[in-house]
Amino acid sequence: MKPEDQVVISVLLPDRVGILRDVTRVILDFQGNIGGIRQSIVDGFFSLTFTAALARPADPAAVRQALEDRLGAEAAVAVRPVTRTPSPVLPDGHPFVALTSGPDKPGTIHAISAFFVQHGINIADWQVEVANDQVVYIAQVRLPVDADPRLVQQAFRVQMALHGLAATLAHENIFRATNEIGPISALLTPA
Amino acid sequence: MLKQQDILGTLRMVQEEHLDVRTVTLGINLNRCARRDPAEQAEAVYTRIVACARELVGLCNQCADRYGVPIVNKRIAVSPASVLLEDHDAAAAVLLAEALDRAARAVGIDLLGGFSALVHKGMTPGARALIDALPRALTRTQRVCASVNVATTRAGMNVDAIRMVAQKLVETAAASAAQRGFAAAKLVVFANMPEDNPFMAGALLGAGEPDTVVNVGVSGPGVVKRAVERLLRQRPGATLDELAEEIKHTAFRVTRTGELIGREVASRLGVPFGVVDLSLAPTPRVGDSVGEIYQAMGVERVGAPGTTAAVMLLNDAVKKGGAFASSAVGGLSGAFIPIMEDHVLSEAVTRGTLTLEKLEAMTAVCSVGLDMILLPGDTTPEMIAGLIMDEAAIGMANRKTTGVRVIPVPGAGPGERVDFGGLFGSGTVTAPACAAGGETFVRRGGHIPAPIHSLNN
Repeated sequence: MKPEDQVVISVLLPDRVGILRDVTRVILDFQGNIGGIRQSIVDGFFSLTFTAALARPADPAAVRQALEDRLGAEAAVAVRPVTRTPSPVLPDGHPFVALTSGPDKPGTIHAISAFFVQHGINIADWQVEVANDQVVYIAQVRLPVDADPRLVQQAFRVQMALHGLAATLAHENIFRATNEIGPISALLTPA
Repeated sequence: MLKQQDILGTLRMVQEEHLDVRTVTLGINLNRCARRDPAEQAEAVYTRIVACARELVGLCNQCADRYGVPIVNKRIAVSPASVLLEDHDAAAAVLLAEALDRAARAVGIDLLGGFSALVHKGMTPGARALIDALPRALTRTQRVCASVNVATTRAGMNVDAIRMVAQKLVETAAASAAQRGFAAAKLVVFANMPEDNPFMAGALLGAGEPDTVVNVGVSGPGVVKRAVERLLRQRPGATLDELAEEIKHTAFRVTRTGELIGREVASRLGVPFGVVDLSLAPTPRVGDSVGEIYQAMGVERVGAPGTTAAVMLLNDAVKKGGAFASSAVGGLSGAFIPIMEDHVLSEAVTRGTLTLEKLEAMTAVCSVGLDMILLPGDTTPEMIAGLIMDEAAIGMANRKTTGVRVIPVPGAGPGERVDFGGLFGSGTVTAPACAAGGETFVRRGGHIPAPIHSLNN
């Protein structure tokens, strides 16, 4: 499959039954095969990102128009040709989970993400739990291979405290060990 | 990707429910340290322990930080010290204990176990020397813990040894009268002693264990209690089998935490990983109590009828959850009932609702025995020997570990409060309903034969 036949597509619209069916119908019409795909629903809004390999070159604008026609006026669609496959970010990085909690106020996510950038940390996943007026942010992250996790942990606690946030940064193995079934020895990396 | 609820559930266990790794215990075999000269032997022991354990505390702290789970205690368990004393006397035993104490201090740990002797079938000169030395050894040292195994299901019960140990226990308490007999709290008398127990005061490195090994003790009574409370909030009419199921699931997660950390510490130290001991071991802190679990389950007054069944349910559910979590579960693994170290149990004894006799019944179904119990200062060695014999009989007949860790408080009488502070907690001096009348039986001495079911080949 030639790289110019591949596209990456994102779709955003209010959630309803049948969105994935409608999207995949359009891709099928373009004789496309879906590669990686991920969907999520945030506050009632459906978001989908996927790659697709098209059997024949197609104008991204045409693909976008077809999706918008199918999904309706409330849908926001982006279609980009894949000119190169991005390399994974920090594939060998230390997998950690960052938890931050505190009052819900503007700027918190920016503060957290700015810390991560400062330390070369990549966010692999981000979730939020809201209870009363307290928010817990859960980020699954990758620390650079040469980072000292203990120093990063300490800096994270200190910097988040400046924003009135309680913060924890723990290796993902503790969460996997307590919630998965499988040999513990398989989780351990060389010291 | 990890699920949000899984992450939050683990975080809740650690941050709100006091899940911790109660101990990482490094086992060290000292047999190669045997020397004819006691001073040389003591020095060899000191050198070996420091060489093996110098990085223990630092590596444990690194692992604790990595996973966000506190490792409360870092400890050492050595091979039975009596083996090094076969050609020595009690004075050499004291010298050895002092070397153990120095080594423990040098590597930054608070307790070291294994000043021990196994005498369930008979007593060697080394075992005798160690037992003779107990009062001096335990009063001259801060960090050394001692244990004596006096019975097994296979071998029977060595009553002569029990009588000797009981006498020494009384002497040990008397020798530490200024500390209210505290030295006796560092001595445990066992039946069916496990060889891989990481918890003090009864930890030692058994004969079949590796040269060095990491064993881990996880606790978490607060985690179990919160799990029970959560279930009952959602399902107020939950039945006992549903409670057992919830406890089992919680025990799974707690055990997995211990094994993860234990394996990582072992790997970093370059030694084998042994076992994770899942024992619900309380501390005096509110929220970290086994008694609170029984109360949450519905035993509002610990000691009332139903208490023994509650202990059995908890002990069994913990073992089942642990066994599914890991094939490396060992040690004691179950529920402890250390009176002074559990504020609910301590209060129940003070109120008189939890008696020594009820505790004895509970030891038949918990994972250890009569633990951290204060006795009157005038308690006779025969009474203590009788207590030990009763516990050993429970252990022998039921093929389980039982133990006795009692402290006769010099000058104290029933009802008096004693506070040892810290993790050792506080309690009320108590006495059996019938303290005397078995002396003639005890003084007969000898050996109680092994029960018939020990002949299982």
